[in-house]
Amino acid sequence: MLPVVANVSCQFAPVSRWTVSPDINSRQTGGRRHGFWAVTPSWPMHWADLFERAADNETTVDAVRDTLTRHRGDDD
Amino acid sequence: MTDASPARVVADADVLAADLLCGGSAREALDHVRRHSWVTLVASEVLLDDAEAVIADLSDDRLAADWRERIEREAELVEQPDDDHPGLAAAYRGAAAHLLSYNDDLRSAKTGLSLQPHVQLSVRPPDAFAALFDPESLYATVEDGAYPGPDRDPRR
Repeated sequence: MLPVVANVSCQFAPVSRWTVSPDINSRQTGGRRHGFWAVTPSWPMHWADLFERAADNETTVDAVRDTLTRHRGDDD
Repeated sequence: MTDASPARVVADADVLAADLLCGGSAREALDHVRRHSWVTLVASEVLLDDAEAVIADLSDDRLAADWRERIEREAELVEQPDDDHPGLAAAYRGAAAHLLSYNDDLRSAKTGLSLQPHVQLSVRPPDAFAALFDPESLYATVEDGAYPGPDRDPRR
């Protein structure tokens, strides 16, 4: 039976850039009990792929600046 | 004073994270770098650690890790002391003439005066860098021959 692929944000990427592997521990696609197999990107990862995945977060520059300030403050 | 190259650019952690998470001027600025193989993005492990932490905090660990792998193939990494400001230290150690940052303090006249004896560094927000970047004149400064146009796909 073919593996079922679900909850993968880049599932419409060209097939050649993605591989299907039986990683039953993948959080992204569920575990063995859900009957899913993991889909992991094969390198090279392109900037277009990263930007597409990041777009879901709708982050602002102010949030980025605040987070960095907090992070660097924690390091001091 | 170190001889900084106008074709070597440091993006502070806020700009690196904004490039990925927000797009806008940060992405416009770094697209100039990605588009030209003869423009070098300089960074340090400490700088990338900061950006990765911000990305992980605002998105997820997996995206942050994938970004880290991708940026490490793109950037030239330099060593820096842990206590120095990551952006300034990477620019100084990496002989970069440009530092992109949203941090107003880094762009203040006071900071400029304190940097002047040590390094030739232009600290700009990404929108200013994106607007002022002139690849044709820069190419004439750092390479031989006429500017051939962009030679890389900034989305690959």
